[in-house]
Amino acid sequence: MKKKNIIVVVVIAAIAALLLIWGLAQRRPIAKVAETDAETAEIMTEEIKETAEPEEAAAQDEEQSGAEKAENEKEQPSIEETGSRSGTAVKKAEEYLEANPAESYLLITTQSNIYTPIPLNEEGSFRITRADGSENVIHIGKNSFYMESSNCDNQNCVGQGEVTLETMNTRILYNMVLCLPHELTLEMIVPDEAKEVLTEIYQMQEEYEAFLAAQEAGETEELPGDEQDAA
Amino acid sequence: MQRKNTRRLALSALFVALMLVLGYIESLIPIGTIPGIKLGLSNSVLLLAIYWLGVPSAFCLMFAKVILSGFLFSGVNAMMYALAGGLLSMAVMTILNKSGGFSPIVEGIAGAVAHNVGQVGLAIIILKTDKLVYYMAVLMFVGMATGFATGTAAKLLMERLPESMRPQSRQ
Repeated sequence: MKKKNIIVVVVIAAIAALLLIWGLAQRRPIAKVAETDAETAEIMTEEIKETAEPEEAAAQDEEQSGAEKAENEKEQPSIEETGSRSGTAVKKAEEYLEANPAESYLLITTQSNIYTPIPLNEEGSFRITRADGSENVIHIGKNSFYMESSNCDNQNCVGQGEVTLETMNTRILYNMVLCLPHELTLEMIVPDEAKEVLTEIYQMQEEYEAFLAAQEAGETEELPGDEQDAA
Repeated sequence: MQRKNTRRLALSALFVALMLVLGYIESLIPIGTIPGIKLGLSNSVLLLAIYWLGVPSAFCLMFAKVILSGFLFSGVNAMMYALAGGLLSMAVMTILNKSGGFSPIVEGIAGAVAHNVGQVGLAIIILKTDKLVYYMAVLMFVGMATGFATGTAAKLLMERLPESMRPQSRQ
């Protein structure tokens, strides 16, 4: 009887350890800090092989180092997949980044929207309200943000603390603050990731406008993908 | 026969009340920097219910606890996460129990870990992000510790509580 018990506990611990290592591989290196852990480096290359996005991998290969490539591959599941990058979208993304330079950006994701990344330069707070009455007040500062208040019944988000550029890799929740009842995710992203997100957003926008134009011309009835808002 | 049903009913009600009180008390204990950590003391009551009242009743107790404590304490929005955690936890504890030969301590460990995995797993699915996996792994280790505590509590309860409290036969 005792052996069974030990086996179960060991199996659980092994699974947890594996997930821990995989989770550690999700960390985002800031400004190309080399991953010294051999295992995490292995896992990151495996991730690159596993996510089968050949067109996007080809487009990104010239621009990015291996570490950032792994991040971008993982960035994609949260945004609708598209084919090749449209040149105008990339250009618009670069223009936005030049107009709003910062060392880090705040990316807000709700259930239905992704907002344009907000440069984290000055102090301030702003409020996000949604149609169902949910409100979140977010305080941002230089390379930091935290959830100032929220009208959710949980208040877990308020207690999750602050995300700064320094603590972004060592927090339990990494670079995120989550308000689960409101399905609101706040993420701190570096400029390269911001460019990625922006390109996606503008590309979605273009496709949606093209779809609208085509619809008016009575040509197609199909839906493109998810809608995106530009804040 | 009637006496046994009344005993089961009274015991079930007692267990639900106990779980609600435990849930409230453990929400007062500050754990630290990790958000969403709960001691999960109710799992010891549910484990005892599996042994004493049978699996269907234990599931009913879990549902009752999730719904009631959702309305009373944690809020309706968070209820689905508690439900996911509770379901997975009960499923794992039931499977281990019915397979036989496992110590209640190990069932407690597995139940607590499953509870945390269910909660964070649901968050991962809903938010469509895989960045929470590290958080889930941390919670799994914490769950092993809390599960050890709740499993031990359940084992001690089963050994120390008078046999007269236990319903004679399962329904």
